[in-house]
Amino acid sequence: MLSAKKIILTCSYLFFFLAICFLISIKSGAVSFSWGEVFDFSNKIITSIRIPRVILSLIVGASLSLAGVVFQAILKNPLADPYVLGVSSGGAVGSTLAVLLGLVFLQPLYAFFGSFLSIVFVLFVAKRTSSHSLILTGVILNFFLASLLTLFLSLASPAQLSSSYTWILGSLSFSSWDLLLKLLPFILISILFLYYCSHLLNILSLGEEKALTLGVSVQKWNLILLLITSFLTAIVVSLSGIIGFVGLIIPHTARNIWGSDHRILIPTSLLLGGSFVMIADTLARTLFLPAEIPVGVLTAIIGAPLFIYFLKKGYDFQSARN
Amino acid sequence: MIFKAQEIDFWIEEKKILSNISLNIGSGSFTALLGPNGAGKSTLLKIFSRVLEPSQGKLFFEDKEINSVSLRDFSKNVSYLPQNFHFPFAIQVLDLVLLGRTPHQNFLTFNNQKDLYISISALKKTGVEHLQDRYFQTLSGGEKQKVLLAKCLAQETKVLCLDEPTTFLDLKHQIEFSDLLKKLKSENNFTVILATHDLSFLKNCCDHTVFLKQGEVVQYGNTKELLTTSNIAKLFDLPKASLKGFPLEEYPH
Repeated sequence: MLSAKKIILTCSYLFFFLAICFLISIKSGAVSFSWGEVFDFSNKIITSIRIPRVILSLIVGASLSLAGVVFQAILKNPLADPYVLGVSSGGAVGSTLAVLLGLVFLQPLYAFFGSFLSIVFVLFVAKRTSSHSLILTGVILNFFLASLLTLFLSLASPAQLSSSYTWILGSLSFSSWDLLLKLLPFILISILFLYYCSHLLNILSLGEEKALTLGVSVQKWNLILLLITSFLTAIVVSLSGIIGFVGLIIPHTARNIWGSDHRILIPTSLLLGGSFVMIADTLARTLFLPAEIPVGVLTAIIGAPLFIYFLKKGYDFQSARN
Repeated sequence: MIFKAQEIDFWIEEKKILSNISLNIGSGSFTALLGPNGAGKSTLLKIFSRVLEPSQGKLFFEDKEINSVSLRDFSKNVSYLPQNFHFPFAIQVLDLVLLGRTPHQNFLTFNNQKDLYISISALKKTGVEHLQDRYFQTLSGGEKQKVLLAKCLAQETKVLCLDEPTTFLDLKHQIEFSDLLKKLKSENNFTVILATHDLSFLKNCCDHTVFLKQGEVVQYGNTKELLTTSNIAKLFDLPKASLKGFPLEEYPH
């Protein structure tokens, strides 16, 4: 049985790990700093470039992992990820459209609306929030939007192409305090709300019948939780582009270690996901200096083999347990 | 009166599953739903436990229209044991039984000593206390059934809706299960509605029986009077001779 003590203890050492990753990420980059310089807040590179970027990677990783947990619980599908209902392809189409229209500075806004509109469309078409019809509608929409994206890209000039590609491959290089501070309240409120619902997620993940007979209005809560989670994902996608595999691999790692109770699964996924993207982005910035590779490429390169390793080890994705 | 069904119909698209069901389920009664496969037993149980809503007709719970009772209050009164159970994620037995406490908690509370005590005694009652740390997915069909029954007991409801509760149980546990139900009956003022194919279990435990056939109530009444060879033969479209040796009253009344 889960106790508050276990949650606090586990989260403390994960937080400690996150703090170390945070410091290392600030220290390393195109310009490398000594440990003394890391705490020198008069340094412009540290305060206005490094720190916002590292914080963004933390937020993106944490939010995507959380979104993965919630989607898996509500769709009752261990292979669901934040992008399963068309959020990513919607965002890609939106941002490419912004580029084609010459509105590059509005790229995040277009991406946000692209993402959010696709999820609203899926919820509207699937009518009932049963997991099968949602996933099917999501898959179909993903196909449709992928062809639309290809169409847009074939119409684009080389400069527009490169600008779209950077976004589609996922990058944290557009970060600034300005945008981050504007979106931070929405992100934090969504995360807190979803954590508040963690026990509810335990019940919802049992299935509709069970949840109903335990007094939970399944349709209502599924809809609320899906909307909030998609809102969170759409914000993250608009900030960072498509960073794949985080929302799949992190929740499963956390399930594997700490079990499927959402009261511990959510905080551990948040902390683990934040650390993971922070490390991945630091590697993306430093591995091939002076070039920077897209962080989305790196998370997939690390994520896919990890996934296969879990499978080979005999990890059962259906019951999410060794 | 715990449940009062008035002319309930249930449709799935064009197919009529239940038609014109009118039933009164008295407080403290044990009622069995009996009938061939596809007669609508499970559907009717799901309507009583509010998993499904009737397409037409009215259902009253303790003389209140069912929709005027909040889902949460309802779940403090009625629990449901489904026929098949599959959970997409790993869950430990004790955690699952503790989820039965949900209607009595709010979302943020951790299980307190009382919840733990109630859940463990529910596991004791169904005889699966030793499984509490096992993962539900690793249990056998019968063990799963008993764990889920413990979950229903931990919910502390006065009505239990059980969908074929003895299907996966071995002989010993079938007998223990009917003893358990009888004990519950004598201890508390439990009302039980169950679907079953097990005639001796039915005869042993249930004072009322509903015959369902093709979505309609064919007969409803006292188990002793209804459970005759000719009635059963008619219900299942069987020749009377084939029912030899079944625990039935010999002569039709």
